[in-house]
Amino acid sequence: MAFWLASLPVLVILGLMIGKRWGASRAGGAGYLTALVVAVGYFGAGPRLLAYAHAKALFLTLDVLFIVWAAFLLYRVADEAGAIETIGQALPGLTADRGMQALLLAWAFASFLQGVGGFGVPVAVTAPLLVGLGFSPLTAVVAPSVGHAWAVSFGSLATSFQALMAATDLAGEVLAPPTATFLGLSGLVVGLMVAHAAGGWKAVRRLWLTVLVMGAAMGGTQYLLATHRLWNIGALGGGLAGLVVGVLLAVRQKRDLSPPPSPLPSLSKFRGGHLPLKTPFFGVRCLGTALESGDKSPHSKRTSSERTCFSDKKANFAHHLSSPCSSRSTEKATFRWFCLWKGENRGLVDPCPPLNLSKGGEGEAGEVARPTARAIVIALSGYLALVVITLTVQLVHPVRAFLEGLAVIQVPFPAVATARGFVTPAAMGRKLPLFRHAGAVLTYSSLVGYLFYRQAGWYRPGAARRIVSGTVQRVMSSSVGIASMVAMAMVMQHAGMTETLARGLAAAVGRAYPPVAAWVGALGAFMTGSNTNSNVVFAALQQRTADLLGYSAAVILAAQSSGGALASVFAPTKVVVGASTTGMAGREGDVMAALGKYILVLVTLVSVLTAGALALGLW
Amino acid sequence: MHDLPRRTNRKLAFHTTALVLMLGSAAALYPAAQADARTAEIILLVLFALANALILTV
Repeated sequence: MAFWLASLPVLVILGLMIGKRWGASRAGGAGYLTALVVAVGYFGAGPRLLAYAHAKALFLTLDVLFIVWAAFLLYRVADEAGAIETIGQALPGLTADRGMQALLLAWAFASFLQGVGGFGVPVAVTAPLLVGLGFSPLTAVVAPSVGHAWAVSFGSLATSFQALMAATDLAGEVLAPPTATFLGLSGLVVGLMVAHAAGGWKAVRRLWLTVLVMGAAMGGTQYLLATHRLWNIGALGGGLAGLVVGVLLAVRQKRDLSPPPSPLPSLSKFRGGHLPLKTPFFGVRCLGTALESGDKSPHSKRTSSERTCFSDKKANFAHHLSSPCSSRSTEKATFRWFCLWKGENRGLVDPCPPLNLSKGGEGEAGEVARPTARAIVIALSGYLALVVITLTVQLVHPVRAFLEGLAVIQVPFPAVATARGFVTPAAMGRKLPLFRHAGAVLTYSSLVGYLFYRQAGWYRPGAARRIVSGTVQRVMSSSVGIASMVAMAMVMQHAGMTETLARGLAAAVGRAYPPVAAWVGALGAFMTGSNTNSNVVFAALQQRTADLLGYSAAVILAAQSSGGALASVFAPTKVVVGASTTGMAGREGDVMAALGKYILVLVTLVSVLTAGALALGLW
Repeated sequence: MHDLPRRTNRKLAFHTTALVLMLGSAAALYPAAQADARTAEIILLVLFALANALILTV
């Protein structure tokens, strides 16, 4: 009875999010109220105990929210300047190999975006790009969803990892090595999966070495950063490394003759308005109009094959490209050229020239200018500022000491007990060094990035207002969800509910617990749609269970965070967002069916790694 | 945020109110617990719970 009552808040969240399709904020509120009623009604939690539990929850919440808000602010600063689009548009033109395009966009770039933003940004940004390159809408959602999964824990500037540290009071130096190892190895498999999603087993056989090299660079970089107290830029660094290595490999590959890509559908199918692609950002009407007005090929003089291009002058392309995260105005005119290839392909084919952005100049009629090297450097400047500031704060001791001494919030908590005799011992609360906090570092980087982009003239009037309002609008809902779930977790912990659950799990599963740990994390992320929330809800439980069974808490918690990261992309809330960006709204079931196979394999891999690490006595 | 749909603005207002209530009441609970002010603790806990109930209506 005690076990089931203790699990009731979690079951409520699960039932509401999956059964009733409630969002995390509403379900979190319901879960908290359930925990409160059970804690008071059955487990004997009094007002004083609850007061201290809520106060502790406040510090944990602020610790996490400071990062969430600042991370998204940095993303908005870059996005408002068009930096994300600029980086994304530079990539497709590097290679004609579709498998390689998928690796660059859906794996490396998506991981980079997860590193710097998260919040559904990787899929929202890369999926439309992939559709534009000719990938099916389903592939365009599945590939980047899988592609960025390994980068979630150390992504969003390590929000999830910070939440793991906050919920368990274990040092990052203890948690980082096993977590980064599990995720790095998963990352290699993720690369193969992206190749598979893009081109089947043929692409896997052709690109396995490329995946190995890129994966080693990405996983290795993330590991090095995470284990040297630089977990904030773990996934960012890994993604950047993947981009650099991937670009070099793509350029090298371009020198070789690659087999012609699969011919795109015949134009004759499109007469009468039937379209293979249904994307929200240019729609049926634009394509039909372009086809009816005949050949508008800007490149027809270049080749002997017939090519029909049409332009989309819809002003809200930029909005859709980064929807739902961007709140950019729809006034900006953006041109996109889509080329449907008909006829013979000779040698290398560039299926679609990249988007022409004002940063690289409009170009002449028939010529599409790619982002220049200078534009790419400026686009990256916000994140380069983050890397420099992070390294300075973490590695330059006088700077670190100065910032740490400016303002630190930390309060003591006395021992409290329930009416049933469960005692929470006295302890110091979460330490918040306000000016050295990861959130502060992100805020400094946002300011520097803003100045860079403004100096370069990349902002339209009113950018600052849009950045702030866009940030508030986007993160408020998730902030409420985090606050509720942290409070729920603290109430459960102080009332002895977490202890009851841990003892029940340990008794039921016993020595078979290690492989189960990753699935607990995966379940939490699936329920809540967030690795951060999964860590907040389950980390203390996992830690306590590990202690009871005599296993390394660091390894079990690495499994928690890794399983949660990989499964978070499979959460219904994430799938809905991804599907909506490629016109697959209403077909989320197809996306989940395709995604599910990959995620099952990945979480199973983490289970095996967890059991192996414990058997070998690592960490 | 004046260009947002009314429903989005309403949801944002509710969430903002709920978050401010939660953080504010949690912050006040620490000194109330230190002073062992039972009545204040209960009022603030009820406020926190009400903030969560508010989210359920959005």
